[in-house]
Amino acid sequence: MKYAAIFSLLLLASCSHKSKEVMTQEAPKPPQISNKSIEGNKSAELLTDINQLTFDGKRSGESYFSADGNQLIFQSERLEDNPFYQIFKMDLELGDVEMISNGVGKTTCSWIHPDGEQLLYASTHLDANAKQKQQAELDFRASGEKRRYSWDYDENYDLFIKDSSGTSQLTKARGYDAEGSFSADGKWIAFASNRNGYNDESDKLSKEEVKTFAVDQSYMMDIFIMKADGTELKQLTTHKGYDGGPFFSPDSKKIVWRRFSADGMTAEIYTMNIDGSDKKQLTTANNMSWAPYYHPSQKYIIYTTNTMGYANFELYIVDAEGKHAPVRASNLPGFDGLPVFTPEGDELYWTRKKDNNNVSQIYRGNWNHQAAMKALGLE
Amino acid sequence: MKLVLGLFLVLQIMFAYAKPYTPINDENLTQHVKKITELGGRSAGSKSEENAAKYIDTTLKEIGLSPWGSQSYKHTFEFSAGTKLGPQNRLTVNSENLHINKDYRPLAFSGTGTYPISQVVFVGYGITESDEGKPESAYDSYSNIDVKNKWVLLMRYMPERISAKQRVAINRFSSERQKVMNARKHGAKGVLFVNGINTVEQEELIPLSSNSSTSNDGMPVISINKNVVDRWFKDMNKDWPAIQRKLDSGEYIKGFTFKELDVSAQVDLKQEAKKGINIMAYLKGNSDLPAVILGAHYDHLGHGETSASLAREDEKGLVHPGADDNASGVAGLLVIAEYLVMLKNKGKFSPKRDVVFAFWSGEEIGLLGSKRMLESYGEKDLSSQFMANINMDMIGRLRETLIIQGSGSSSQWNKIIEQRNAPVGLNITLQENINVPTDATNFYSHNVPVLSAFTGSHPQYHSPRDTADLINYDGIAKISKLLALITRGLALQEQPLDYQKRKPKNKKDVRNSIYLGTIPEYGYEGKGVLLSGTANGSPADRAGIKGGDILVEMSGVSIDNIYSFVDVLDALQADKTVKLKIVRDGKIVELDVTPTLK
Repeated sequence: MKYAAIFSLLLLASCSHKSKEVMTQEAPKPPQISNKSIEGNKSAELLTDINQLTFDGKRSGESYFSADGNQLIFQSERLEDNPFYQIFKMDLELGDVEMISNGVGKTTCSWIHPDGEQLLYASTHLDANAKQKQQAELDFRASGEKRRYSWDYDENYDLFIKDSSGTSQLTKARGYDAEGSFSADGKWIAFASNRNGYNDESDKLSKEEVKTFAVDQSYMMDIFIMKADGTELKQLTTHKGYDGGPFFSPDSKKIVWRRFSADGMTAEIYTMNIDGSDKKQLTTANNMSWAPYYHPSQKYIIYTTNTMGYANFELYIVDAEGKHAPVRASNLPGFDGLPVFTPEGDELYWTRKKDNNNVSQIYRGNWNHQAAMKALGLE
Repeated sequence: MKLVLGLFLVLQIMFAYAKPYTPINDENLTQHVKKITELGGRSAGSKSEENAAKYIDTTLKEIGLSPWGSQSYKHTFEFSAGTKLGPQNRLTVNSENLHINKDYRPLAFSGTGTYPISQVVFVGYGITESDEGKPESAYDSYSNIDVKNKWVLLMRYMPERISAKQRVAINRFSSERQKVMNARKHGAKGVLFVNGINTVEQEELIPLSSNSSTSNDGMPVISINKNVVDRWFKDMNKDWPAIQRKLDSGEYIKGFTFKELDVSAQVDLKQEAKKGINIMAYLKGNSDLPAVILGAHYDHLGHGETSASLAREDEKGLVHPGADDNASGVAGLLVIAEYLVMLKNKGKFSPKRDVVFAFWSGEEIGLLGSKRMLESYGEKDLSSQFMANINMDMIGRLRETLIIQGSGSSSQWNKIIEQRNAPVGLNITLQENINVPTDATNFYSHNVPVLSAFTGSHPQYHSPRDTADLINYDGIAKISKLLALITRGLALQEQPLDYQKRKPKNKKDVRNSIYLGTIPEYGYEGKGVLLSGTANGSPADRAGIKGGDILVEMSGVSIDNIYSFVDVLDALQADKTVKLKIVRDGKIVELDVTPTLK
């Protein structure tokens, strides 16, 4: 349990990974006024010209692009009356920022359909107690106390789609439904859910499962797929332990995700076909590798890992077949995770917490695809 | 084949996501800067300025912007371009007419007309130390000599080898203006200035450009060549070099009248009026809310005629192209205009507020163009006219970081800048104050929040070497994009920006720092300290000091330049009122000012 204890000290943004999280109650730092380049990125060959994209609010992260690369959807804690993440969309041409979620409850894990109109995210706004939970959290933060807590797998999370006609609910099951993303062809949604842990027919769960689920709601988390309209639901994984953070490959034929061991100690990167066949483990570092994401060339996957220590999660790339050794892509102090490529594949956006001040924000840098291919031996 | 296929894939990806066209590109910017600098040095009122105005005018028409505030894009303003000699100058000595510019030259503040004065009295340095409570031993060049209704001939400057203490005591009585006032006090009717015979001076005659402010109160003041005067001394059998040596050691020499000398004069000076051209265009908003106004000055230093030129000896008289200062800002403003029009046509921008594009002239001669435009409203508070002013002055040398000045003028700026910089990704250094005099300062003093973009000074500043090939065009593009997005956001915003007065900084360790709130003019080299304005609500503001005032004396001590100003300032006490003398419109004005702690 030593690792678990250390791990729980990490502040991780959520989506690709719902893991234990410590929330400390420091006052947010005043917004930085200068957007200085980050010093000391030694992997300058792959990732260059880094700067900070978001400043507002205490935390922002988990940014994902529209297919044309002009919109960025992300989550951010920046409302005065709601301490939890809400979903925002930024116009990358004009800098306009618009709130997508309705400001109530908790939200996470957003995605833009390739049609550019439908916006997918997970939310608890239908929970009758949503506002009480907001107030309770605000009161707690105002008290100045600190506490440890794990990521809140609120069982009221469901998937929603918002478009110009309004908001529609895609999943209704009791349990945490989140971490959803559309396939590149727009036909499918993959997501993670621990709904099986709430299965009332208790004979379906073993005693061991019931017991473990009671203390760790991620234990029963699995990957599901369904049509973009919510029909044809199918479970793709049955592994005990947290399967989450599924993203489709650019050709929409594969899913990449990360799988935690049953005890939550380690995580590795996997791929499978969208029907659940051909599951393949790409990393074997036996530490915590997660938040995988395909490069648009589909040649390799970027992810974050604690190879360099829990205080310094770094970005790595591994070829899509897992045939070559992973290559380190970032060399920056603090937490660097949740990476995504622009649709052109020439820029990288990720969530960065540069020190222990609990402020995480979105950063961007130029990505050298040729150098990455070369480093992975793919040329 | 594998490699070829790989390349093909990459190309496909790139084409699929080709960035949409934007007028904010290097090519447009390069062309604008090139064209504008090729038109010459663009000093206000010159042909070169007029040609640059024409270029901007034509470009705005092509972009599709309407003229603002009148039928024409061009708004002219008059200004005084200094004093020139008229055709009717004469200095006659014993019926011989001397040569203008060789033997004599009137000073810029001389009275004009015909002066049939006859006799000339030499009064040494012409200084009277005339404070109340001074001892009998006070310095006085006029002691025991009658100069009533005569010319006084006096030497420039002050005794050269007196003690520092004496020097401080009489320094403030030794300026040309002080000496003229002193001569009048003693009843003289005219003043002839001459360099000391032992004094090595580059120019024998005082240039018209010094003492440029005009105050003609009727007395002829003429600078005369020492070769002419030397003859007068010799005719009197006086040893001028010896006399000067005595005077320079602080000794008193009784003045004397040049016998058989009959001098009369006619002075003819013309104030040269010129016209500068501001160019104003706008994009119409759909409400009456105060407008967002963007500005960049397009005038520059011509061939370096004024003291603002930093040309080296071997560059004097060459065209000052001003590629960075401020063809860069003009180019930026033009592409911003084109970009916003494009967004509007695409349906991505329907402004609630008018967006005004101002191309100022006369910036280099005291922020004149923008000043005159703002003064035309006739009121100080123009927040009902303008929501914000975004200014670009020298944005062509982006290196590490863009400097944005004036971010303290509204509490909302930081957030706005951050939000709109997200798509641009510039490294930005925010400065709360406006530290470099630029047109934004005028808006700020009219209660309008301002931002001014600046990429820093450089060795080519104000010289013929500020050329187009040294410009970072990609840098201008990024800065233009940022300012365009900020402008767009402001024009869409119904809420006004709050206007914040300048805060004194570093409250902690400024116990001894005395604060007046004057904003000195950068580059002014005349006597005194020319002010471009005052900080709002500052002691200087409350005392009624205005931009354009020249501070010449404070607390009874003469102010020669910025350094002596700072020295005197440091010696003041907070909350203790002192007298201040300024030159305003050619007249000395006395004001009371009460400094505070910063």
